[in-house]
Amino acid sequence: MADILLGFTNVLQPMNILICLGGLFVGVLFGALPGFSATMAVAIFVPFTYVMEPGAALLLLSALYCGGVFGGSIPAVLVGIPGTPASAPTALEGKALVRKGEAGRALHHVTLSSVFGGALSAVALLICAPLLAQIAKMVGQPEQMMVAVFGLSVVIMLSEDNLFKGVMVAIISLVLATFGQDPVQGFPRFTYGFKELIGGFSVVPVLIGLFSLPEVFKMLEDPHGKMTETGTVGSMKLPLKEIFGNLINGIRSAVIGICIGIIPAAGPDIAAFMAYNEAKKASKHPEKFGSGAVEGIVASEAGNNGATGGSLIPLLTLGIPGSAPAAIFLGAMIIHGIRPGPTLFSQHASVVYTMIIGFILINLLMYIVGMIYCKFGSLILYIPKSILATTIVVLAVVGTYATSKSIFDVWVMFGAGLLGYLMQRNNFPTSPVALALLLGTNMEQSLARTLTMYEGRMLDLFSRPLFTALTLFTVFSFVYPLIKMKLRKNKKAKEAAELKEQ
Amino acid sequence: MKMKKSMPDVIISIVVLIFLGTLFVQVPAIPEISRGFPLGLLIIATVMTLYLLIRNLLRLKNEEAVESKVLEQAKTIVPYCLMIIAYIWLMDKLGYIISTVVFMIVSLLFLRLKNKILMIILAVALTCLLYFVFTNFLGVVLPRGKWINIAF
Repeated sequence: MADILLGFTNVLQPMNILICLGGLFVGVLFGALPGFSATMAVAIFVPFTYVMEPGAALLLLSALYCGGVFGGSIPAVLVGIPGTPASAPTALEGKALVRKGEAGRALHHVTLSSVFGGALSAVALLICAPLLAQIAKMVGQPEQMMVAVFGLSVVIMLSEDNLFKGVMVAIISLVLATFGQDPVQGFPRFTYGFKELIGGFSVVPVLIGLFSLPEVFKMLEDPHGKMTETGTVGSMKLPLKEIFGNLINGIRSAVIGICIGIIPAAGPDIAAFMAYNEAKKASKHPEKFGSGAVEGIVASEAGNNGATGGSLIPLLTLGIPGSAPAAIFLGAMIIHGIRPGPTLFSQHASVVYTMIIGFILINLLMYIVGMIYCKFGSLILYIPKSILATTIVVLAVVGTYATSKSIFDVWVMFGAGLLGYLMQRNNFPTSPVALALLLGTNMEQSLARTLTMYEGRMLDLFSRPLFTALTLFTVFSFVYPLIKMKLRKNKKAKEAAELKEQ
Repeated sequence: MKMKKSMPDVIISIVVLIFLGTLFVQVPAIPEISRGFPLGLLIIATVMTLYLLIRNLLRLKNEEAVESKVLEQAKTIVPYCLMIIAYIWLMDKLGYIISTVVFMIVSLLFLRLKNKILMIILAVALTCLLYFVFTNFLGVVLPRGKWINIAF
């Protein structure tokens, strides 16, 4: 308790609050720019922390990380370009709300649910870290494989309207994810002779293309006269009923985010999709998803921000960096003479509790910073479509180039954009592409390793409690939406028959 | 222009099958140990695409052609795509600054922005702003042209 109070005292020092605010402002900017990510924000600023106190250094990195994860959602709502892959589900609903002239409402929900998810993950970091560390210890290759398969079950909910096409897109996208060196042997596959394809497709250029260019092409479908039109932001005020109506959804999504966060290699992006999926399953109006459902935004944002604290749990308690940002945190901590692991909480209690309490404060401050960004960012909607379309293309091109300094990736982005437009026109869902590319490599790698570990004795896998639990979840996740869809169809058919009789 | 509703799916299925075919051709060159996972997926993808093709071919027989705006929309979208292609290609040759200013002016002209002064100011200002943010603030060196190189 004394350590927690000491953490509070450290965090509430004016300089540390300023560091948190500064980190958030910069982090949100990084997240909002296409092609930049929370990981890059943390990585770029590590050298700046060399001269800082360890506590302040970790606060700065935490603020950059949380701000980066949140920032990606602002362009996702306003222009349909997810700044980071974790904001892709937000883009689905945000775009629809912008079309309805309710951008303000969408942005306020984004900010509020991000703060909620992030704060809850920080509390989990403070209270449940030792318990969650035990779960993290149980995660091996078989569990990682099941998480990837579980993640793919999201496809079923994402493509409810056209299940066959959705599954087909996911399978073809999984094939695309196998391009480049295979994750076990390193042999290059399906490269068509391009050396740029040896590393496979980068996910970020594909996502930028898939979510941004189709919006531009849709604007071009309108007659030229409409290109001078502008959008409307609408009110940012949220009725209390709407906020509290999403409370359960927010808690569920944040918990999903925290649990996904502690699993190595599964970060905010997968958490966002999974939380979105569960929200759709639990919703009374799943048919509204995809056409501006606030529940979808809340789930996605609480989920991806929930993963921020979760991803640090294995690092702080076991010394295992389960994600790229956690690995950078590990580097920064070692530079400051702090070695994460089981003894961390006793040997460096002051620094660790400063960071954890700071995580809570950072997430609360994110509301202020986020609303400022949303207020100014939403002005973008008053720009005529002709200027907006041109700017989106330039931003998509420059943002993609920035990720890898490769013109080849810019071509990939353009190809993905064109493909995404053709898919949308012909009722092929595009979200399974993102999901399959995010999960594909991890799935193949963990599958290969699991097969090696359990060669000829696959049933032994069920002696692993977490694997068994995940398998049951996965089966449920695949079957439940199908049953629900069937029941809904039967109900509709029954209603139609009754109407006919009348 | 009139088109049957299932026609786009038929065309897409054929294109996807050709693409999957090009992947099948490459499979024998992959060592057996690295082949299993992609091959399994390829087979499932091919079966599903074939099913989609056959299902839509059968539907095609009973459908009537309906009015489609595809050609009309293509008249705007295809030239714009060509402009983006030219932009990406020129970025490698002329560098970020020249290619972006040129693309923005041509794009805004194409999309009929009436105010010419605003058009030029916007093209130059946005290009420079992005250049400054990416190069000076984020440390990203934007493309320098192989033919001409303008950089600050």
